[in-house]
Amino acid sequence: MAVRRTFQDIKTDAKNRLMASTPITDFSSTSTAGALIDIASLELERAYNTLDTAFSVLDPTQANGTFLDKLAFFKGITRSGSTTPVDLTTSNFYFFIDPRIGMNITNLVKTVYPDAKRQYRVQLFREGYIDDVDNITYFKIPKGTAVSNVSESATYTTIEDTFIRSDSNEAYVPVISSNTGAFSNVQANELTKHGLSLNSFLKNVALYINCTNRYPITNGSDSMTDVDLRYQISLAGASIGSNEINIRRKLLNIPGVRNITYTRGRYGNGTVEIIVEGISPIVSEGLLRAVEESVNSSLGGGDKSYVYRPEYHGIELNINVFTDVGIEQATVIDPIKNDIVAYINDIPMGDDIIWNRLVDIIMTGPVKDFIVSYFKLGEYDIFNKMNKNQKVLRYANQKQKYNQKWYIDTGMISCCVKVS
Amino acid sequence: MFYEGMKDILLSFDQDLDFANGDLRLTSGVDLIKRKMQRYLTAEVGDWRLYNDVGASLSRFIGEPNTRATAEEIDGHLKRELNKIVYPATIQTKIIPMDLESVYINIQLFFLNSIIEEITCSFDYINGFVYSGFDDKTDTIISDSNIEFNEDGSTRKPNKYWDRIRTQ
Repeated sequence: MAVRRTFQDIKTDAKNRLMASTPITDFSSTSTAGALIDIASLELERAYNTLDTAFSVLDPTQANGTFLDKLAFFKGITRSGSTTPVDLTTSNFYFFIDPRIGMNITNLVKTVYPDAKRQYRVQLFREGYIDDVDNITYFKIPKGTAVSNVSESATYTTIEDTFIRSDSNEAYVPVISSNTGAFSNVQANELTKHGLSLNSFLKNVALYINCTNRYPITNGSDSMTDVDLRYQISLAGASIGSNEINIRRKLLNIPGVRNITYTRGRYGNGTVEIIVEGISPIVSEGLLRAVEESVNSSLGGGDKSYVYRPEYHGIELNINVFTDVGIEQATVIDPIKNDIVAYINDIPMGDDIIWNRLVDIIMTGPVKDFIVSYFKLGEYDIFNKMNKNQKVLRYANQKQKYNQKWYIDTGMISCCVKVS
Repeated sequence: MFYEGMKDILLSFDQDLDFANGDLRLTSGVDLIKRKMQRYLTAEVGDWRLYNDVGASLSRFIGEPNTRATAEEIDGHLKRELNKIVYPATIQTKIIPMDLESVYINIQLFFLNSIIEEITCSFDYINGFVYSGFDDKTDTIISDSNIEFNEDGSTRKPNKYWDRIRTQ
């Protein structure tokens, strides 16, 4: 609105006009003229307020809340609510028998409950946790089992029964977060605590069963803010149907997606290749499926989409760092490892590793000098967490293709502290 | 004449605007101050929504015993409150018990040691009513001059506002 007049403006104006055109001089708080002006000024201010509201609710740059929702609705956009992190695939979260004991489930149950304690096996059988008292072929982990990260800040629940079978020491199961919002998102290998030991029947066997998630679960999101919604409205005019902007806009709204590459016609006419870069360096199967579903709902009939995760290049680094006497090793190694992981995993898909940046990270803190033993690159297998076909690199900047992404975790960095 | 420079729209003692020759009547001088004092005396803090310090709030004395101590308290209270609006004149008050439940209040407006106006009212300790002795002699009480009865002959038009309400 061009000019908005406040109570005080209106009152002063009215007072001046009355003083100029009538003999009235008393406008104090208990005067009649003052009271009448107050009433008129208040009502006029309310009218201005109403006008101001009406003006702002029609302006996408000023409207907020439900008014903004209504404006967005005209453009075919609705405000997305908060979502609960969930992974419905059976390739991410899994229970497994601790590999250090080297047993399958049959041997494990029989070791925990030998023949002298056969009655416990009978109990397990009666409750349906094992299929036979003597020839056990599976061990059931019931749905509703709580799993969480170490700090228990993110708690999930299994949503199906799953079975550790005698021929496989792993059992995959879909999980859903107990809380809504981005706060409950987890990175790979975070869900390592489970509540099986709370089950009185299972607690002794549960001691040897672990769990983890191979991929991050990052599809939890908070509800769209007014700022986000304004941005979506601003894009709405440019994004219609199956054009690139529309698809890009839709995909970037999927929780967990950091960026995408969009290539039309890579596999022939009517094809679209989309490579998804996640907020977490490793893109989960669930995220790929969500992207695929979203793309297919926007593509024109006959078009086909190919949705992939990036090709991961695993980096391995072995360094010796030199410090002064009396500095504790952990205070040197941990920050270096964490900072290198943060730097490399944060490099966008297709971007370079800048060697001097790595040098800068290593030399921060009490490090006086360092020697690199090796700096290697491999094809990172995200499922088996192995770095295959490794090549030794020169200590220089490293380039990669548009669809490749660097990956490193603390286990891929060896750091040795020496006193100089 | 005192307060001659102050001019305001006249508000009658029964709190209504008054018209003369097709225009709002104005008031000034001591009459203006007198009307202000009456408004102040009968108002509670909060009645004037925009001004939280306006009002003598005599209701705070409801239920107090009709004693000399309470009278002195009312006296001090009124001086404090009314002196806010009569400046540069000053206030002198006399509180005189009328019966067990009410007092007679005499307020004198002084300027340079001479009385320029004197007003009276009474205050009831039971219900907090302030019965002011003010009156606009020019007001016409329609209900008195234009008595009408309903068809059953029982009810009279109660006051001058009745005509306005009926025509809406």
